[in-house]
Order: sequence, then structure tokens, then C-alpha cells
Amino acid sequence: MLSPSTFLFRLRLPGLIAAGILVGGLTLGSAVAQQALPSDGGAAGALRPGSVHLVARNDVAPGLSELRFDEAVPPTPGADQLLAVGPDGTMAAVASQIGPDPASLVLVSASGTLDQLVMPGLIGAGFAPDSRWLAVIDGSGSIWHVSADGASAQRWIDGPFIGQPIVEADGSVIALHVSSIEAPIMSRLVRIGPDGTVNQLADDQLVYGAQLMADGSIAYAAHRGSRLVMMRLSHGKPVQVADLGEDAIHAQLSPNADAVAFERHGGVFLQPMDGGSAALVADGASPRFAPDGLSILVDEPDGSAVFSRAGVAMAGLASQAAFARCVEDCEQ
Amino acid sequence: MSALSSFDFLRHGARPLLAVVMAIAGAVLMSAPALASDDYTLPFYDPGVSLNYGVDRDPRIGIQLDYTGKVWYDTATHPGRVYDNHSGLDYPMPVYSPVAAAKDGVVAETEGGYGTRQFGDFGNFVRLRHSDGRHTLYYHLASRADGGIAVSYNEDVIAGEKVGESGCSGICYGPHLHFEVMVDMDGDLVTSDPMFRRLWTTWPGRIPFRAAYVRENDADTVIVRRGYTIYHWVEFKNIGGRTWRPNIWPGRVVLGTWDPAQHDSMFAASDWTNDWIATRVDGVTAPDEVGRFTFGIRGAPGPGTYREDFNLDAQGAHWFNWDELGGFYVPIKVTQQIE
Repeated sequence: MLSPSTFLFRLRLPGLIAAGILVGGLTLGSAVAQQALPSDGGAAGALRPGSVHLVARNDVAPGLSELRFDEAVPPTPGADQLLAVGPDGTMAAVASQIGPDPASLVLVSASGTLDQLVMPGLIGAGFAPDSRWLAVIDGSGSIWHVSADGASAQRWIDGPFIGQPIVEADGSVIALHVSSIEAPIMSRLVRIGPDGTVNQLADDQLVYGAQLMADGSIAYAAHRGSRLVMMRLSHGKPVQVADLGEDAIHAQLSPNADAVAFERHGGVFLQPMDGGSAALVADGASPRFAPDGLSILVDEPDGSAVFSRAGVAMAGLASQAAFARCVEDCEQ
Repeated sequence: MSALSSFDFLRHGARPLLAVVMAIAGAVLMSAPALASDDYTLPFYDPGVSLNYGVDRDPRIGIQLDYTGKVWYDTATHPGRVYDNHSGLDYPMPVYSPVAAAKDGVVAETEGGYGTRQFGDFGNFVRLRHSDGRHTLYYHLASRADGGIAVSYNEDVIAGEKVGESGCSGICYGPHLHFEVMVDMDGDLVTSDPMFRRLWTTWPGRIPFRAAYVRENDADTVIVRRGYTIYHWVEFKNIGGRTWRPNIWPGRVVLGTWDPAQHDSMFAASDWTNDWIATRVDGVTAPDEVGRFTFGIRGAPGPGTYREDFNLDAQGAHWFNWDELGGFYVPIKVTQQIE
């Protein structure tokens, strides 16, 4: 059973049909907002012909909500990816496909509304803390400001950037500036201020991902030589907190910084910070800690699963999933 | 201090950032010293592999400048030429195809943790640092667990040596090798276009190890008296991009038994290196030169007619293509008396 303080936002792919909103050429039920961007890459028709999207929210348990997202056409590799979830778990951003080709950014609200924007490719997205807008990285690595209601979308800054951007309360965005989107041999952690100024946050040449800690500090995983290290910026100075060795990927620091979860060769491991050795938690990929740090969400070939730190299975989901950052009192 | 790694210019905003990157990339792309055709070999062994996309020499979005000088004002892909902002050379090949070092160098970085076909922001790669200051990058490789990474961090490698196997990790829409030649600009690795001003889709260089049969001292059946040894030589032309050397390992070129490879030969003479290596190339043989291989054939088995197959092996790198060598073998007749 999940911790009561856990709010899990999950995205279910084909197999479910429920009440909701139908878009993509057909409309059923609620109104649909569909907007083609007035951009140089905003080609219509990025949503594949005949595709049908269906979304519905289902509160399956206290603190646990499910967002179901369905598509009538067979899924293709890299298609219909959950990009980001709003901090309070009431919104999600979904990409019809990842990559440089025109793609649909589907903004899903748990209240049942849905908007769709055609973007010139999609790589990643991150919600602002107030869920009112998103930073979206398009297929060429530019960052866009997109309002959560889909009413506006503006290209903000050219990159190229990759990964999942982190939006801070003041409107700054933390992102990875890369040398190349296809083969990012250099990937630098930067903060882009609300005025568009860009500052590099660490000297590491190949940063794989960053996360915002509860105290406002930043943790990131960097590749050095052939090893992955977990770093934390303390008063702007990078401090190594763990050396995860060769072939470790998708590392994430626990909320209270007492452990690192990472993936290696198809398994998810937990490396305690007290000097103990890494222990296998589960088979799977891309571990993410729950906000309380007590459970870990992992991707599986046919969905997702939640495990305790000791590796006890707590929930199995036939869907992509993500934890919302906060559970209750998100307004505060 | 590195002009770029300091990122001081970033404080001035994104447009200056883009302008600086464009200026540097443009300068490198336009003015980097041209490479000679044999400076770098192609990073694979299969002569059938061809270029799919080359470098976009114009860093601006929506403007593509390919290696021939043609410009496209669009963001569409142009197979055989370029796609927008592409930083390397894409060579389609099946997953698990061997990938070779394009030049002697040192392994500067490896990543093998991603799945062989794991789609995502990052993938598996090997990066080599070369003595001329350039770096080469081999991206989208198979996972280390699947044999995708064949070298270790800080290891010396030679041109033509296998560094890994291809895959489809990272941003990958079909198995291929992303090969890149980069210039070290004070710690920043900036893409250069090795095909600049060259209209060859197979550039840089050539397949590292290839050979063509030329002649041998006796193309007919070799007749040897039982218990005796006679000497035989065969010549092959080096049609690859890598110089053959007799005494540098890995990479020395030897004549070894074939079908099956490395089988113990009944005809191994006392001058053979071991039971399957008949000899090394007689001398240093540069591309386009002819190399000779001289070795003894001992009439060890009983009288009869035999056949021994041979192939060239660049040790530590890979075997040559036996068919390209003309399916080389030596027919041998062992007699009781000298005929």
C-alpha cells in the first residue's frame, strides 16, 4: 500500500476506455481546444491520422489518482510519452512522440479538460511551481513558454537544450545545454533567468540530469570518464555525494539525501549514503523517489511499479507514471 | 581558463551564447585544417556501409549547408547529405556491427550503461583523443553488457582496432553509428566536418583493413617431400586505410589459417609463429603498396593431396574479408620422393 502522503500521477496507454474527452478530429463530451502554433515548425497534422486520445481521472485511493490516457491507433516506439506532471498532480503534459519531427503536446487536466498544441518536435517539459505554465523543449532544443491552458506558446530561448527542464518559483529554468541533441557529448547544467540570461551552474562537462531538492538546492548526476557521480550544489559549489561507478544511469538523490537510486543493466539499485553497498531494489528503469522518499517508482516494459526501499512491491501499474511533487496543501 | 567552459559569456544572455557558439562552430567548420585522406580511416569494417547524413555546417536553425556546399533553407532531412544542425556523420548499420577506431588514440570517455535500443536523451558512446588534438566520437553503441563497449577508459587504441559494436541507444530512430570528428577548443569539443571540400561520401579515409590478392611464387600445387620444408610467398595489395606492420601489436598483420579460423595446421613449419600463424607481413606496407608474406610449408602428414586455407588477420582488430582476398588457399601435395 502506498504511503498516504504519496500522490501518484499515472498515465495509462491503450487498453482503457472511460468517460472523458475525445480529440484529434472527433469530439465527444467536453469541448476541445486545439491550436496550431504560429511557429516555423508548427505544421498541422502531427497527430497521426485517425488517432484518438481519451483522458479520464480516477481517484483510486486517498492521495493516489490515476489519469488515463488512451489512443485508438497502435502505439509506436517513443510515442505518447508522459513528459511532466504538475507539482500538485492535477495536470500532465504528454508528447505524441519524442524527437525532432512535429509532435503534439497534449496538456491534460485532471478536471477533465484537455488541450493540444502542435510543436516543432518535442524533447522535454517541466511545469512551473504554480502549474500555470510550462517550459517546453522543442525538437531543435529551443525552450518555449507554454501556458497550461494551451492559450499561448512562445519560443523563449534557443539552445540546444535537452532533458526535463526545472522551473523555479521566480521563473528561472534549470536545463541542460548540449553540444548536439543526437549525440550529446557535452551537456552543461545551466540556469536561465527570467530575463533570458544563462549561467552555468557547474563545471561538469556531461551532466545527465538535475533535480530540485526540498531546501532549494540542486542535485545532479554527471558522467566522468566512464563513471557516474552524484553531485550536489551547496551554496553554488558542487560537492560529490556518491560515485556510482561504471554503467550507472538515471540516478536520483532521495529527498532527504540519504540515498541514491539508480539504474544499471536493467536493475534499479539503492546506494545508501552511509557507506553501505548498493542493493538491488527491483528490475526496471528510471527510478524516481516519492516525495516522502519512502517508495520508488520504476518503469517496466509494460508499465510502472512502485517498490519500497527494501524492494517490496507496493503497486503495479499498466501505465507510465510520475509522482507529483506535493500532495496536500499545494497552494501554500 | 577556457573561453567557453567558463561560460562567462552566458551571463550576457542566450543570443550572445548562440552567437558565440555559431562563431566558433563556423570558424571551426570553415577553417579547420583539412585532413588528408589517410589521416583517419572509416570507423567500420564493412565496405558496404555508406553515409546517410553528414554534418550541417551552418549552425542556424532552418539553414543547412552540406559537405558539397549545397544550402537548403528548410528543416527537412536530406538523405545522403544532411539534416538540420546535425553534428556528425550517420552510417546506418545493423545492431552489433563492429565499430573501429578511426585513428590511433587514447580512450577519453566511455558510456555503456544504456540499453542497446534504449531510447532517451543520452546513449552509449566511446570518445577517443588523438595526438593531433582532435577527438572522435562513436555514438548510439550497444550496451557494455551486450558487448557494445570493447575498450576501457584511458586505454591506448590503434586505427582499425575494434572499439565497440553499434546499437540504437539515445535519440535513435534506426540502428546506425553516429561518428564525429571534433576539435578541442580549450576544453570545448567543437564539431568539425571531415568531409569539407571533399565530395566523397566515404570520407574520412578508407576501411581500415582491406587487401586484394596480387600473386604468389607458385600458384599451382605446392609439392613438398614428406619431412621437408619448402618456402612459399604470396603478395597482397593494401587497399585499406591502415598501414600494415609486422611488429606492432595490436594491429600487426599476419597470415593465419582459415576455415576454421586459427585452426592448428598440419603444415606448420619451424618458422611459424605458432600452429596457426604462418608469418607476419614481411615489411611495413602502407596503403596502396603491396605486402609480401613468406612462410614455410612442412610436409608433415603422409603422402597425399591437401589444401590449406589462409586469411590475413590484423591482430586485435579483426580478420580481413577472405572473399576479397580471392579465397586464398594453397594446394599441397606431400610425396615420399622429390618429384
